[in-house]
Amino acid sequence: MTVETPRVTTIALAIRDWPGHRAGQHVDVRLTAPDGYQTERSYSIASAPEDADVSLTVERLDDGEVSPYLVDELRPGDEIELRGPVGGYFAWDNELGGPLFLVAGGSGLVPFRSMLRHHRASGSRVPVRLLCSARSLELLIYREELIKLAADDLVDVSVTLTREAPDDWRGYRGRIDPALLSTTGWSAKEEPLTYICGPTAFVETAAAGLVALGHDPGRIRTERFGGTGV
Amino acid sequence: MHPLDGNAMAGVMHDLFARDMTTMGYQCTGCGKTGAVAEMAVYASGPGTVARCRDCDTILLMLSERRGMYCLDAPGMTHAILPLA
Amino acid sequence: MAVSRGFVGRRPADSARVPPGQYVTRDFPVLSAGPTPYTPLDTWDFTVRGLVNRPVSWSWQAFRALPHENITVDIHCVTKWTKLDTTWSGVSLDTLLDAAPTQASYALAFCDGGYTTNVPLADLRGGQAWVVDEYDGQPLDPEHGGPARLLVPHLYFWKSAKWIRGLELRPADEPGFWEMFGYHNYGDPWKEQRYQGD
Repeated sequence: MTVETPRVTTIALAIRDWPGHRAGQHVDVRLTAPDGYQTERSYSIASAPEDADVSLTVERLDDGEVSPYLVDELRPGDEIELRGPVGGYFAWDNELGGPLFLVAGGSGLVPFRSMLRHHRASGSRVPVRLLCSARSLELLIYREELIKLAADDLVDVSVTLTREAPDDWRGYRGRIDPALLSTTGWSAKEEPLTYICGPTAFVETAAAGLVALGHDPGRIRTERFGGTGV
Repeated sequence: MHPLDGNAMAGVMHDLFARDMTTMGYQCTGCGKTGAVAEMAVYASGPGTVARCRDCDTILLMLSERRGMYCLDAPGMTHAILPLA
Repeated sequence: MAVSRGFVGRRPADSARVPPGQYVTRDFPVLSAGPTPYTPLDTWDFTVRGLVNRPVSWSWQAFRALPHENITVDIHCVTKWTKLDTTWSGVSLDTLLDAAPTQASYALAFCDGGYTTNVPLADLRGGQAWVVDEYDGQPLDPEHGGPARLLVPHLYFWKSAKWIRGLELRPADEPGFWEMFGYHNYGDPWKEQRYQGD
């Protein structure tokens, strides 16, 4: 288990008979209490198909039922019940091509870690631009890995901080808007394949902004979740 | 409250159809909008799961689980198109 | 079914107060089958129509001026949570129905956003049901059904329709939104009437 931020943990799972997954897919985690009470939530897979472990990155929601258990209670060696991998719409593999524009709000970055690792592991030549929005640098997940990924000539990483930024911050500040999407992404003429993941309001803003900039809605794929952190 | 989207139904739909259904195309009988299951506005907190058209709120799909059975209604969608798996 | 170590879920508590299959929650989960409507109060009204001599309507101001009662009740949601000692303020359905004499036996509650639910009139009378506009001393939040919702605490909570705009009184029963999709027509939590046939 790797602590990403005070509220976000990455959990590595050893799964018997894992059928393999596509980058961007998710799994449903089901918990069962001793009295038979069951509850289930979906989590994006954070690891690439090529990685040895299947890992999930989970943000703890204070009013959640499953995420506080996964972040605070789960210990190495515990077993959990999974369904998946599921979802084919928000998946990317090299054959789908690009250029790729990935837009992440808060822990919406999770499926993109899988896609970017897959991009590197498969030796893809598709150019990628990633825009991440986080409240602060401390709350940005995968910081070290993003710096390493950005060293690849084919991968551009942009970060915008919405609440607070260090004095010497050289990235972007403020919430995403058409201007930022235009600066950090591709032009509509380049016909990018775009994936947007984050809380509902973030996804709506990003998708509407790109459509307003002339992007083909048919090449914009979205995934919304109930979390926070943008 | 903000709805989720059809990606949230991927697990249950996979149980039902033994394949990915999030890429299934459809047309809304309310307003004619076409899209994929993954793009539907999904309200998953109620007694059942309700998927609506993002433009006109027509109920496209209703999913509920009772006594170990899934029940599926599709009152507002037509022209289901499924890519070959 | 493997138990997840350390997962307690929700605990059944005082079993005399908690119907079978229910778990006590301290939160107030928001349950919704569609977008939250935001009806301006100057266009809001509450109407009793259908099998009546003539329909009766109250504007928001007129509704607020009706005698209100404070209510403390336990509520039971079909999704298995029970919340104890919820406090509301609202107008008794006895007050509202007295203004519209009827031979009807059933009511279909209708709401902003298109939601409906059916309740026998006998279950709305006799101090068993209210149209509430305050929760916990505050105006009812739109997420929880504000400006006003039905409160029928002796039935599963989907019968306590959010964003209510009135009652249609009917000689015959007609299923509402969830009832049409296979939920129980009556919904008594103590008999665990969750689905058709329970």
